[in-house]
Amino acid sequence: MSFENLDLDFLERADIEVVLHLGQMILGIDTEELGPEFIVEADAFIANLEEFLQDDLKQLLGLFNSRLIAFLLMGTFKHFVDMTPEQQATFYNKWVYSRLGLFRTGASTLKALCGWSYYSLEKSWEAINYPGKTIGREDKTPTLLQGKQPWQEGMEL
Amino acid sequence: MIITPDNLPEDHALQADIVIIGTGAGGAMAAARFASQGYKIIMLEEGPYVSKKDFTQEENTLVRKMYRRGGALATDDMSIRILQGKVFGGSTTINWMNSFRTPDDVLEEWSADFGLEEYLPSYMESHYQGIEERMSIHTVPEDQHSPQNLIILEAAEKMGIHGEACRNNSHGCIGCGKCGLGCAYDAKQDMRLTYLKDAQQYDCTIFTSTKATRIDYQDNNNQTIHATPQDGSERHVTITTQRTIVAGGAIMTPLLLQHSGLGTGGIVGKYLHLHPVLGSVGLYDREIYPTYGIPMSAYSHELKDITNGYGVWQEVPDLELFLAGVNMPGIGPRRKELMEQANRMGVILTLTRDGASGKSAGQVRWRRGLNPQNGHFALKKYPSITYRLDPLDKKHALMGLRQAIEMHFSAGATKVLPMHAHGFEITNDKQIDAFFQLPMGPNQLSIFSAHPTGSVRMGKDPKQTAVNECMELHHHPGVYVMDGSTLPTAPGVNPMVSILGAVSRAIELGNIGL
Repeated sequence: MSFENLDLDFLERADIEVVLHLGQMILGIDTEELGPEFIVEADAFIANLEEFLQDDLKQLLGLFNSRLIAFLLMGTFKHFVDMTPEQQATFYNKWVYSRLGLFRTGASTLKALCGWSYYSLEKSWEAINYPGKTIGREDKTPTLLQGKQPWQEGMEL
Repeated sequence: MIITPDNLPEDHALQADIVIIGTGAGGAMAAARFASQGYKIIMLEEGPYVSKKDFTQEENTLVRKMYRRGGALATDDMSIRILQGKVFGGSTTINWMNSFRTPDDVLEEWSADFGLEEYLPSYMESHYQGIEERMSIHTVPEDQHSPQNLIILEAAEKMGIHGEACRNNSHGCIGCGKCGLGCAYDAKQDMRLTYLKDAQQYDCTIFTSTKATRIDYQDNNNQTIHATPQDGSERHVTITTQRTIVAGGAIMTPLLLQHSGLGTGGIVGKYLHLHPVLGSVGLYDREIYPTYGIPMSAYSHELKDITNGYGVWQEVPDLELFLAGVNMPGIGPRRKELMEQANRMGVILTLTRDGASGKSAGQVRWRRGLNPQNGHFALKKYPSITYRLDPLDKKHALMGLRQAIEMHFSAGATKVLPMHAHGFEITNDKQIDAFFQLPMGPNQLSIFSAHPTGSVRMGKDPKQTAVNECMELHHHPGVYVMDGSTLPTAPGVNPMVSILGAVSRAIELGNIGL
């Protein structure tokens, strides 16, 4: 899957770049590893929200990449996507620790969007030592009744 | 009978003795009771119909399908994320099974402060017994605690504080740890498998994926309910009824009442309580696997009474990955490194019984705001949830968080990271104090909730409460509210059984007058 021609309901080309950079900065995972699936999942997450929240998110992504906001908070006229990784983290933390609740709300929203969109993807599970579903593989469930294995294949559940 | 938008009958103008809006704990209990008394019941559920085969344990599809706002429900400022079911069976389909009775001191508080002497412990005993029997509620056996729950029990023993097994509503639970995605084994005895099943033995028709949009109130014996199938079609369902029971939960119920002009008295929507939850992550040398095992099988309520019966209690979650992804502290490579140790991670949740100062904690209402659309600004009405953690509740919550950090270390954690935007790592006592020097404002300290209650509270005084002891609106007889929104104060325990018990008692008291 490539980033080109993704079937998206909400995110536009400019938004994709912002979300990818956000994912990289917040999750510590490079954009290639995040992959197009991350964008598709983020888009599905947003598309599931009510219209007024979609509008808010659209504005938030725009504001986060705004050169004016970067100038006000950092003294630089760079877009977020053009900042160095260190500048991006500093910029994000300016939002987190701002006295203005609106900035903190924005930072929290973007963190939730990224965290949800990546870690609900099956491809993220191996790296975090998550063995996955139990259905059909109940006997491999790591903590089943405190390590005991009362379930055996063929047992009625 | 279950009706989905696919098999919606041609005749969309229907009639019932009682319409029940919502299929969660309150709605299901009401349906079972009234259907068995011979009334013709129609239930409306906004969320989809689900059964065991739908519970595939796939987070990204199931959370979007079964949680309100796809799991993204939150206060307006995003400082508290609220997990709430929007599915057949309501939040009982996706909850973590904790099944405690309302504590006696809370019932006594309701009697003293709200005139609800009918809910004193002696009157509630038989209701709780019946609920516990129907839902297979039992104390989790000692040999079934997951490693994550053992953190609570081990720490409690070492610290000399309270710690014991919880009670849950399961039968044959294997501890897959996916309760939040619906039970793929039908072990969780949720509403689908208990009270909704009972109701369907009688004249009870349940419309799923069908949202009640408005209640037209004519008088105490005549109401018309308007509803819309959630399939994108333009279809419309109207039901005329003699009694209406709203059971949409503490967020949706006040919104529907207000939208229908039934929020009179200025009480509906106020006094929202959330049981705000703080989290702390302990990293252990041993494997914990917090995404597996029976969730919340152990708890500690050592700090349950810090101020006049208000305080905190500690439990451990069913740590679905979407929750971990959203709430893990910090950013960047350190966050990635933390997530990579998910199998050695144990999480303690600190739940606060909010409302200690007696003030209004939160509010649910409709707001109007300007939204830009296609280059123009449009005046739009949108649902609003506001909540500010009261200073006394915050003090309790932070005391509880400190205790949770100490519990992690007592149980052998090598490092503890409270769920805070900073990602602060604690490895010794001095760092605990340093952590509490960080800013702890909204969206800095990570907070979530799964227990919204109180927004249509019950009591005798119409100036202070919205419904009477029978859960009937003071100002609109014939319309009842039977869900968590009626609980006069936060119950201080996971609220499912409190809701079921209160509704069961209200029905006994009022018997709906038909």
